[in-house]
Amino acid sequence: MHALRLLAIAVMAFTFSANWALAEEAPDLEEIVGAPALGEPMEPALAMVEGARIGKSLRCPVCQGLSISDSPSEAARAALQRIQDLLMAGYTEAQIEDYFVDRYGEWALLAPRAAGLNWIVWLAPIVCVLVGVYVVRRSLTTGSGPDSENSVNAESRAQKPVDPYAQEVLALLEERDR
Amino acid sequence: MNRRVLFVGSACVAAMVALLAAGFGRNPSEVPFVLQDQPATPFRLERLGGGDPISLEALKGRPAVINFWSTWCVPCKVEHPVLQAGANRYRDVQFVGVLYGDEPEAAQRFLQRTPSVFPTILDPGGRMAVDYGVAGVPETFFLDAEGRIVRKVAGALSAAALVETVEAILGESS
Repeated sequence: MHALRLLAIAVMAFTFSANWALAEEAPDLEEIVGAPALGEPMEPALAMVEGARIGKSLRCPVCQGLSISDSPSEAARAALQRIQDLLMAGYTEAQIEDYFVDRYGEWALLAPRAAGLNWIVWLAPIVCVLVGVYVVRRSLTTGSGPDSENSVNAESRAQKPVDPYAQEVLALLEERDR
Repeated sequence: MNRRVLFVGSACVAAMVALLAAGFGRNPSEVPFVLQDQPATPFRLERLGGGDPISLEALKGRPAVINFWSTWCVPCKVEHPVLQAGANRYRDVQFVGVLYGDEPEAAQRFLQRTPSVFPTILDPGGRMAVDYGVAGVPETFFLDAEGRIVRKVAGALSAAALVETVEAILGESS
């Protein structure tokens, strides 16, 4: 009985030391990415679902305009696997984005971050729509109706043409208006 | 009024043309290289055909050339002799191949026909490739003796690029 207990302790000690040695040799995720922010590992099934969601916002490195989650390519599958590894190790979505940006640049993000010069990309469509609405509204209010016609006539009259024939026509028009 | 409209219109068109010119001047499929002068990501992977695993820690102390390749990639086969000649010429530089998205058996068959003087490591799941920002094969990373990434060459490596980069690294370290 005593011998069995000793054997069990020896096996446990060997297993622990072997695991410890392996863990020491192989670089773990903390060595590669840094410490996880959450610290709580995600369940594999949940990591798969969450990974697919995060992968939708990351660009597949070998495709044209496809996300990691939408691409069947080898590179996309590897990236998706890395996302799941990171989620299962307790890394946050922001840390995962940073991991890809650190390796592929902001090019990796399908939607550029709203910061710095990227604000142009986010704000330009809104500005264009507002300018368009203003132009349309202005042309609708000033472009139709009798006032606008008069103002156009007044404007054309204000411009004095140098051509004698045009001057004659203008003079006739002014005479008719009286 | 007309002048103002003309001015605003011209400004909009000019901005659009500038934007398009910048966009068309760039290759959309080109992945930016952001790991310049960054420490290489640690790894420890099994060798193709067995033997001791290879790690970044073990490579440190001498410059290294890490080449991601596969048997289904034609440019990888084109650059194979360049890498072999480079490994033979620069004995102080460690050359390591990383098998990317390929079967070890296929790689072994290829290396039986065209032997390699340097080892290849296996990257199951392609995690190391993602850690190195690899966007396809072949890609070759040049590391200095401290394990910093000095340069990356995407596509088939030319002899000129290999010689130039390795000589620069050796020149800096000596």
